[in-house]
Amino acid sequence: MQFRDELPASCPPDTSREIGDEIVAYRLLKGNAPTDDDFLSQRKLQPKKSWPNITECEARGLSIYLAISDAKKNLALPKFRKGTVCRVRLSKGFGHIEKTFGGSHHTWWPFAECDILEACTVEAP
Amino acid sequence: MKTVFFKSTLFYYDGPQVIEAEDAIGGHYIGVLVETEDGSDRFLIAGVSTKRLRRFKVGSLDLRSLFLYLDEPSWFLGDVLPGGRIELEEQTVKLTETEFLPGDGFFLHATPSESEIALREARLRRNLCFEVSIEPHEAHQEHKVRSKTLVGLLGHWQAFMKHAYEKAYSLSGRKNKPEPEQYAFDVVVPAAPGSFRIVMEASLVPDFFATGNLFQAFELIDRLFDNVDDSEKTAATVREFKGHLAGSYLRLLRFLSKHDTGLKYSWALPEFQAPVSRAIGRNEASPILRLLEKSRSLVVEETELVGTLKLGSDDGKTWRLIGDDQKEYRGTVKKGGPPLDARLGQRYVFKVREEIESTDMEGEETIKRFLLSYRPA
Repeated sequence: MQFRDELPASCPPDTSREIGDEIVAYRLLKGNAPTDDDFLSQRKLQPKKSWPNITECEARGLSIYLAISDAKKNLALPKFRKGTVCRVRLSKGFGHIEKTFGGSHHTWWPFAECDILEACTVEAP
Repeated sequence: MKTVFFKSTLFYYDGPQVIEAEDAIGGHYIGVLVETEDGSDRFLIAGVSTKRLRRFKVGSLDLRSLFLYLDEPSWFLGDVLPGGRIELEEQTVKLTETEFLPGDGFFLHATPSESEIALREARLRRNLCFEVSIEPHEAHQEHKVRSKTLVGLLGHWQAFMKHAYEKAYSLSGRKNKPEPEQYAFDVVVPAAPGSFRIVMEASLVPDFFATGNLFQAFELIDRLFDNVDDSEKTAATVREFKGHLAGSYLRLLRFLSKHDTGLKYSWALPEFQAPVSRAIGRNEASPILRLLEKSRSLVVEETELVGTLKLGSDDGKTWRLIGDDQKEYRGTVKKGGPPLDARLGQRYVFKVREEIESTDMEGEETIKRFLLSYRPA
């Protein structure tokens, strides 16, 4: 299956796993309702930007949390002060994930065919 | 225009959200992403003292407070340019009059150490090495750790390591106890610069057998720290392990809680590409302890001792066994247990229940043993 972003060689890494059984994850939205823009990778948003110590593979994935407490904590960051948390039901056909960075943070590389907005439900504040 | 240099990403979500930077003379700066415009990021950046930056990194100071109470009133906006350079644009309005301040309650998670010391030492010494570090309460004010705290850490960690090794040993099918040298470690770097970090090397000359069991022991330890941000999941793992390993883990958590500190560790074998790292924050030990503290049966372990009976008592309630490992084991017969009418000087297999009563400051354990049954060896 094709991924939403064009990924470099060896991406996603072999250590990632393809999503099989349903996983409940959480992603931050910039507003009150999910839009396609909330699910664009950093590379899509900033095609020419480079970040120190961040691989191209990570930059073409999406950040998600498996614990809602981690997602809600981010609402204190300036970029997400006006945002909300969306619960995303990830199931077979939704791509690959891998635990990265701290807490329950994972990087998600979605397949092109998955209907992300359909799987997203806004959480109550 | 002032220039500082990117040092590390302290928090990541779809890119760096909180960063650390330094100027040319080692001054510290903290930055938080406030907006992205036209392909560029804009970070709110301010100078911070070593002390306050450390408090933020260990999770005892939140991000808003870090910016609200700056040591110097100046604050800046800037982006991380290729090569890590950040050109700071000084701002003249009051920070509190902008929308850039973070909200309340953003604390850093305990993140595993990014240090490569364990791997470097493992390769240098061709041996399994690990490093462990803490940030107790006394370190929040000044750059120091009391020797008592360090001794306690080493003692609790050594007990924890011992029980993880014994568990790995028994899971590999062996019935007798391993020799203590197999799980002992020597301190090789007592105080690595920059943090309260101790680096240790496996004491035994490495061979395939010993290294394999140490590897498995660390894998068991890693499982107990995999999900420390989810107290229910961690509690389930502790219940799965139960016995002395569970007990020593809980005692380590009590030690961390008492000293108001988290813990980070990394371990590596020479052939690793990267060290294995885990961490527990100072706010993460208490929820796990609350779930498990009252489960006395969790920390009890049944085991078999083989040895020669040296002393019983006339009432048949106490016993002393010299094990085949030449160690002396003492215990009593549990109320309702079998009458002890074994013969002195004869060899027996004693099935016992062990309860680790307590540990002293240095992690030394007081064990109570109760005889459940016995048979001739």
